[in-house]
Amino acid sequence: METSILNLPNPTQFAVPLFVGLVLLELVYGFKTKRTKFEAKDTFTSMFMGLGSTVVGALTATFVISLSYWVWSNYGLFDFGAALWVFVLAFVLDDLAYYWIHRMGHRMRWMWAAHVIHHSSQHYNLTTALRQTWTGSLTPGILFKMPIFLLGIEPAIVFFAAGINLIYQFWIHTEAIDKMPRWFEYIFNTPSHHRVHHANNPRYLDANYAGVFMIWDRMFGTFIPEEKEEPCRYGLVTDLGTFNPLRVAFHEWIGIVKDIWSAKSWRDRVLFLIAPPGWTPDRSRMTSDMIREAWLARQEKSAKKPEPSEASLPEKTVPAE
Amino acid sequence: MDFVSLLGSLIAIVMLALAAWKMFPATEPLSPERIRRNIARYSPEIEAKALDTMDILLSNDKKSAICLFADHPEWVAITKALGDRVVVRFYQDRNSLSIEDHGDAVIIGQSDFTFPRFTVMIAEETKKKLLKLKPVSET
Repeated sequence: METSILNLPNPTQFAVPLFVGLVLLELVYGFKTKRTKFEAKDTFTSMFMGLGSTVVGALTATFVISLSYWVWSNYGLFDFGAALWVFVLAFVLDDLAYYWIHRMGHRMRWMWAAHVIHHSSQHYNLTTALRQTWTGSLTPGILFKMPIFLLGIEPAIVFFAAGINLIYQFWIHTEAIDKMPRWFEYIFNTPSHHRVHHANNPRYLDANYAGVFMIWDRMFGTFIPEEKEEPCRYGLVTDLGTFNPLRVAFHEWIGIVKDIWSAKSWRDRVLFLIAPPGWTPDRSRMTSDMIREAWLARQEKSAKKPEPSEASLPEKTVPAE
Repeated sequence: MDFVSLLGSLIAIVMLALAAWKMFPATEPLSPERIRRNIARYSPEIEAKALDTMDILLSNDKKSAICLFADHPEWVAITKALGDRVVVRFYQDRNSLSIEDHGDAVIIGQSDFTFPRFTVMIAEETKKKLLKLKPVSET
């Protein structure tokens, strides 16, 4: 297997000025039309988390790159080279890997501890796209990309594709765009689909994990469309009461350590790490599945009542705060 | 990432946050209606009657409140404005909350890393009501 490292640029570095320009544009657009909302401290926190993520990413890159190249050069099945079609294949396979990393990022608490940062804003604008984790390298996420290296695609090509993928996902973090043309909505991830992903309405939980191609969610049964009658409310099911970047970055890790420390058995210790977020042995907290079940039960109950009082109306009528 | 691009990024972040502060000021105070709506959103299991009859102890700056439930004396909810949004915590055991008297203010604390303790300035009458909840640790 070829061991010389392909020297490709990091696309996200070139995109940073574009990101800043587009955030500024969205600010002005929101100011003029009131269609997008910002909050100063939230904006600062989101962008500061993005900067921190870049710094940490640079510090941990050597380990990730070395591991990937070691797998590719020792165990790669084929040598695909660096033709254009290999880049296209890498992009599609990397996006498929992203789907599963992202899905596990919501369904396994260990990976959620890193990913929760991205969902911790109650706002949804372009700065939310930059609210990225500092602790991604502490999770087993990279393992999901190993099959691509084992297949024989050089890691540099996969990382280049991942950079393009990340840039694509920037523009979908906005309320300024309603819906794209129907064919586009069918194939690609869009602002509408991704708003659902960031929503904490019980109806929308754990949906739309796609990076670029929405077809993965349609294939694997996790697609939920945005409904006009149920506007998205953004954030966590239990929102953070702070803008402090350190608390934002590490709160779930602290929660895991506390839970493991006070766990009564090794089974519980392991489950606190690999079970879905919210899992507890005594069901004293709620997982997203439990939240959805409770919501459905309330919906059924309120549908049976002849004349519900205002406070017990179906939750879709509760406006976003 | 070199030092210059790090510094440039920091300056850009501060400038954009300042622009957001200027263009989108968070001015809406907490009102009883807003508090009820948010507690209902966070804890939909609380019945409407309990929300309608709860006692809302609002801080002077109207940025935080402690809510007591007449029919459930052991329940307590805290609400806090975080920028232009509202964050809520609801406890079925009032002992989950610590309340410290600090003269003009009280400090509300809880064992929750995601919701650090905070200071509220409240009217004397409200403070008395609040301090009745728990044994006070005078400072």
